[in-house]
This record gives sequence, structure tokens and C-alpha cells, in this order.
Amino acid sequence: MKRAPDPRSGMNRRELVTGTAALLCGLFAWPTARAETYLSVEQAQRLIFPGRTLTRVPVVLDAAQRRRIATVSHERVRQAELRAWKSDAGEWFIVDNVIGKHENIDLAVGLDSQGRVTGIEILTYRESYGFEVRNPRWRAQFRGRDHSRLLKLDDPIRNISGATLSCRHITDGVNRLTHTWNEVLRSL
Amino acid sequence: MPAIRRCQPLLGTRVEIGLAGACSEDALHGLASLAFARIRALEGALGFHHPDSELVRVNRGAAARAQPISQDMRAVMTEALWMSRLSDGAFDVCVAGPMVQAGLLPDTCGHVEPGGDWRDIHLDTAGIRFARPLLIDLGGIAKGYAVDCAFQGIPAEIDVCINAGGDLRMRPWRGVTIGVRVPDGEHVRSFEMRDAGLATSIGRRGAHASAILDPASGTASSDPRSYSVWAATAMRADALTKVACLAPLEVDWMRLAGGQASSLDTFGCTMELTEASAVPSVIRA
Repeated sequence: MKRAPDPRSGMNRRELVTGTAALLCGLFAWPTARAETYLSVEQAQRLIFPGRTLTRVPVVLDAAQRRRIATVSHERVRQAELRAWKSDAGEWFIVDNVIGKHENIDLAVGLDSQGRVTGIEILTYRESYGFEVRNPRWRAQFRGRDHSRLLKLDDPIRNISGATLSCRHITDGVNRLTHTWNEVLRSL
Repeated sequence: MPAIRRCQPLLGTRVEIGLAGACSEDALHGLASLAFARIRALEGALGFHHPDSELVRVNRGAAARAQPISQDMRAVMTEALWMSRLSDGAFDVCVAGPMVQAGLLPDTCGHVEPGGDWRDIHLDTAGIRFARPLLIDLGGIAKGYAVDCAFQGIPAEIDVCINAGGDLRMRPWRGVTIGVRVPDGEHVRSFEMRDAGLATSIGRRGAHASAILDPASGTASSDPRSYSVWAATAMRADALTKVACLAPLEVDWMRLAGGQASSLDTFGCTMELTEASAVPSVIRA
């Protein structure tokens, strides 16, 4: 007997085509399902380095530096330009971005004059599940179910329980920044 | 009324602290920073992954002689042993042994022969002692304890929600709507809070969830549902979710522990486990 086509495979092909087309057009966007901003950069600076005067230092990593950092930290350096500030005491405040499969996180990291982490604050957390969230066939599987209390992630519920993606990407990003300090910032 | 929300990576997850109160934002941030510091200290003491932690010292030495322990370790172990007694071993911190064998925890304490369980743990004024070599892990309960400790540091007149990767405690809680993630999905189901603490675990291991192993058999659960438990404290809720995952029909245990439980399947359908009209008490064979 011929099997009915699996709607999920058709949906995946459509996603792939749409996603590829968007990528090729340079229009790759994050259809953000949930976003929360905790702190501004200035607030994070005051919390991690209270009372310190921080001066923005323009730092652009060259290809050799990016390669060295990637080798020792086992993480690709996606951005050559750092958003970094330095204090009179030789401390560094860095704003960075980490991306996981479904997460896009801006974070601030404080490093002391020896390159040790003194504080980490998440500035903005964005969660997204790509094109699937908007696919009507995927959402159709909920038809007939009691989803009257079922919400999309962008509904304004602030506190959520349930499995959370681990913070491995954050840990790896912070690790990359301590290596960046070691390779580049400590001599600036 | 001023309100803040902060988030730091701790306990292997993201810990969110929300505070609101009739005081300055700076004062609220000060309280949040203290709460994060408390959690960081507990992470160092009770973590399986930290080679210098109190837990690793206990794992390495408690079979040879009684190990003195901190108030925090004593509080967590007292609750853990009570939960083991209540659940007839469904909750058992000795599940660390099978977890190391399955590669789910690092091998920081050396090999331990299988076969020990919570009954081999002895807690007294001298500290903690193992009747035989054991490996204990507090991952199923310590996150909730850390949330409770941070919560207790917030003055009573400040509204607070502390959420450590889904294990949360809040004040006030009555009438507050929260979301519980549909397991392996991108939807969220809304619930009203039923008590101050809430924790959720998924039976089956996935991208979003760590494994739940049956302590007796060492086998991993394959249940795709998630289990949410409300209780007066985050630690109680955290421990009870493990019991709910492994023994969802044991309603009496849940009620005795002061827990209220619901499950969610991958379609977002919910089942109430502890309401009076739900499944009647199971007669154990």
C-alpha cells in the first residue's frame, strides 16, 4: 500500500528552499520568537566595574590573530572588530555576541588586569526557531488539540519553566574572549 | 514601582532574577548582585564538575571516614534522603554512578562499583559517611536549593522571581501566569502558579534536557513528556520532578511531599496528576 506523503518532509524542503533563497539574497533574518533585554551596555559597565572610568579602545583583529584565537579557544572568531573598553587599572569590559542553534545572545564580560573573568552579564537574549514557527502545516498538527492556553513564544509571558537550552555557547564565548585577551588585549 | 531583570550564566544554565520594590533601581541591582554571588558560591561547593568542590571531596573520602560538611550540604542531603525514603528510592543522589558510566557526568572521583544506594549514606553530627564507596550527584536538587538560598536573601517587601533554567520561585505567586515549554517544541503552555516554587523535567533526554536515569536500573527514561511540579520551595519542586518523571502515577508520594504536578506532551496537551479527580491512588503490586 502506498504510504501517505509525510507532511514533515515537504515542509523541510520548503524551509530549505526559502531559507537558501533568503540567504542568497542577503536577507537572512531572525524571526525572533522571544526577546528580552536585561541591561544596557552602560548599566552593565556600572555593575561589573562600579566607579571605574572606562574608555572605548578600537580593536580590530587581523586574520592571523583571529586564526590564533580560534585555534586555542576552539571557537571561530566571527567578528574582527571588538567592542571593548579599558579602565585605568588595566581592566577590560567587552561586549560580545554568541549564537546557538536557537539563541542569539549579547553579553558583557569583565576581565581584570590578569585576564581573569570578574563578571558576566547577559544584555539581551533572543530565542528563535526559524521558519518553522511560521509554517502553517507545522502549526496544523495542533488543530483539534486543546491549545486554547497554548501560546507562541512571543506572547508576553516573562517567566518560563521547562527545559532550557544549556549555556554552553556562553561558556565557549567567554572562553574565546579570555584567549582574545591573552593574544591581543594584554599588550594594548 | 521600580523593577529590574538581570540574567547571568550560572549552574550550567541562565539564571534570571526579577525584582520590584519601592526602592531605587540601584538598590534592586545590589540585591540581585548579592543573590547571584550566593548562587555562584553554592555552585562551587555543590558542583560535580568542580574538582575543588565539597561534593568531590565527599565522594572521594566519605567511604573511608566521616567527612565534615557545610550547612548547605547538610540541608541538601537531609532533603535528598527524606525524598529517597518517601519515594522508595525513585529519587536517589547515588544515580551519579550510573550517570558516570553512561558518560553523562565526568569521571572526577574515580571508579566506583555499582550496587550502592541512598541507604548507604549516613548523615550525623560528624558529617556524612558512606557505608561503601559511592558516587553522589546533587544535580537533581541543588539548583532548586540555590534558587531558595538566593530567594531567602531578598527582603520580604520586595517582589521577586528567581528562575534558574526553569526551576523557579517567586513572591507573590497567587494569580501569576507563567509558561511551561512544550517538550521538544517551540510553544509554551500557560499555567497559573499553584505555589511559590516550580520545576519542570523532561523524561527523555533531548537537546533541551539532561537525562533522567532510573537509579535502580541505571536505564534512561524514554518518556517524551515533561513533568511540572509546584511546591512551597524550589528545592522540593526540583526533587519532586525527578520522582514525577520516573513514577508519575505515585500520586500519594507527591501529595505527602506537598507537591502538585502536571504533565505536558509534545502536542501541548496537559494532564493533571495530583488533582482529586485524577488517577486514583495506585495499589502497589
